[in-house]
Amino acid sequence: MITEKDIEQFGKQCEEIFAQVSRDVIGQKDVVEGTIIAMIAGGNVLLEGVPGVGKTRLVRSLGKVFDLPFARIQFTPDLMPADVTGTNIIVKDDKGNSTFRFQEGPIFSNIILADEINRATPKTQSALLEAMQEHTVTVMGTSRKLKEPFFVLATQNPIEQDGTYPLPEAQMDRFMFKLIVPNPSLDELMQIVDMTQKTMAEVADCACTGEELLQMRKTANQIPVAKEVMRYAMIMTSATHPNSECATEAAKKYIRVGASPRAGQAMISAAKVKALINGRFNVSFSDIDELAYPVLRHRIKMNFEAVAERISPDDVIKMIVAEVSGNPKNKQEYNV
Amino acid sequence: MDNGLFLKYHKKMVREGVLKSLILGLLAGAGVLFLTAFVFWMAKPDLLWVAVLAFGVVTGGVTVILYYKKYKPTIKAIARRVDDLGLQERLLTMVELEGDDSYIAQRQREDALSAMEKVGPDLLKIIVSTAAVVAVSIVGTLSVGMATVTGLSSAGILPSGGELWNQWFGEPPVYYEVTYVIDGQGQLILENGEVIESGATYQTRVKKGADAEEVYASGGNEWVFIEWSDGHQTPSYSVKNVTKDITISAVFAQISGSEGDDNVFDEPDDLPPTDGEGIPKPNPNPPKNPNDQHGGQYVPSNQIIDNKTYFGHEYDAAYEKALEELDQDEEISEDQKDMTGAYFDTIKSSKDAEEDQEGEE
Repeated sequence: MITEKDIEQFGKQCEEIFAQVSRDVIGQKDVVEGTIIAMIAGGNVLLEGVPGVGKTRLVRSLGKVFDLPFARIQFTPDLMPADVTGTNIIVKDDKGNSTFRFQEGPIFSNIILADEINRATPKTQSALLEAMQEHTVTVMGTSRKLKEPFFVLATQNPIEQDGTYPLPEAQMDRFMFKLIVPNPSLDELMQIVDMTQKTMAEVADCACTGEELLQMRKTANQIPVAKEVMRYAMIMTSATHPNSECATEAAKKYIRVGASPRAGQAMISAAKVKALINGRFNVSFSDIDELAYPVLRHRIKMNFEAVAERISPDDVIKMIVAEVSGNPKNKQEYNV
Repeated sequence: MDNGLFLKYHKKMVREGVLKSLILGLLAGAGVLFLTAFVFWMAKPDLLWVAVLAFGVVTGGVTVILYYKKYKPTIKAIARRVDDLGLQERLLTMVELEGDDSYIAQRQREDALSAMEKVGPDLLKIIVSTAAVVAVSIVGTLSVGMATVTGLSSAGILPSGGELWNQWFGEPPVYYEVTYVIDGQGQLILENGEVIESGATYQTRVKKGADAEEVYASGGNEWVFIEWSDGHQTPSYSVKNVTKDITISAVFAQISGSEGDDNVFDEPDDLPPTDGEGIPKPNPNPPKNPNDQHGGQYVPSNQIIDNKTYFGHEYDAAYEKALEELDQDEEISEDQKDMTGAYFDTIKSSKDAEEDQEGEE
């Protein structure tokens, strides 16, 4: 049961987190907010952007802000799963007997930066699946629990296609958000250059500890969601399926496979955090509308027609949101 | 939940609910009015009042049913509407958390009430579907127009739908020729006063099933009307329910004429006893009980004896009447009256002489 103190602490820590991150990351308001929401809600984030827009810097800054152990894995085609998870190595004891000892990989950290994740082979990418979903790692039949809080913040470059391996759907589904990191505006670019002339190192200070972050997650989880809003979020998720009863015209036309139930879970978890960050004690329809983009864009599989017409996932989501929110019946308690 | 919280919004929502129900009720009622008015215009314009009654019943019924089944504002409906003013589902959640005393529920309630203070009932606009208003305007105009047309048809100012239908799409009317012929010497006097003399015929077109124009058969000099060729014996006659071409003759008979002429009226041998002036005496053995008079009352004139009619009394009466009318007519000069009276006397004396001669024979 949360108390007034928890609520006050949540507000203060949020302010502090945003303030500290803004010392290292200029602009990128939506990306920063989305990443922090996902981290408080306990989700993983896939950051997509061209090189040099600050993806890695954002993740490093967040590692400092949350005062959590941070590990960076640079994904390359020759990276092996054991390089990520760790492996058993043979060691000799004092008596000269050889024994197996598990050498933890970089994944045994709290914040994992999976840089250029799409450069590794699917086999190595899959090494992250269990860690991202169950927060455990199984090597040689032995499961090991990861430290909490645990996040995977991955980056990928949307332009370079040579030597890359697109993430499989199962992997994609385990990211709560996919955030598009845009190029900075002219003013932001001037500030970035000005700031980095002094130092390239991250200057953010710790705003909250890992335990405090877990407490913030518990607090946000208590935010109530009205039945109508819950139903609306589920309609939004189902509306991406071309064959569902809630299928929208856009989904029927442009989507081959819709979002999984994890999308619905992610939407509600994230909406609670978003509401509380905005000083509200309830989830609104507008929260769902705004979160539809980062939650759904990597979970829908476009069909040939969409590719041929150069329709992006965000274009389709925009159509779906317009269609779902435009129907008053979707905002009423019905069959719940 | 304290319903008083929403009281100020509730009144407006009730007004909106009633208005919406009424608009849809009017739409339904106007539709029924249009249909019934149209049906009655086609079939029976006099029943327009039934259409008006149906309009009232349907409008009232639909309005009440819609209000209580659909538009009566509930607490949640009010919360949703107020949330639409920018409260981001605060009130909706508050209503749902009714009875929850957890800290987060209390904070949510405080937040919702605080936000609610910023939006007064004035911001809550009554929203009515434009499509419904347009629809009720169109259907209402059509139904009122239809009812007016039916009313005017009922008053006889406009033709009814059935009449127009028959006129436009029904079978063309069938007419038949009715020809009046004069058999003997006499006249046919038409309704417009036109006189058809012997030797001429009068032909008229009559719609199938209708009655022909009424014609009056009047005898000429020394000729009397006997009957129409179809057996009717009244001089004034109209062929009823014409369904084919008909030729009908007015049969006249000469009061005294040459032998061998079939139309010559022969004085019967066994006429009723007359007084000295040729007028038949009353029946010497009248029935004791007038109700026992089978075959009608005995009248001296118009007695058919041996298939011939005795008109002596008619002549006398006509003579007296002619003299009286001649005397009373102020437009005729005295000289003309004297001359005409003398002519009448000639006829009368000629007739009397004939009767005396016949009596002697």
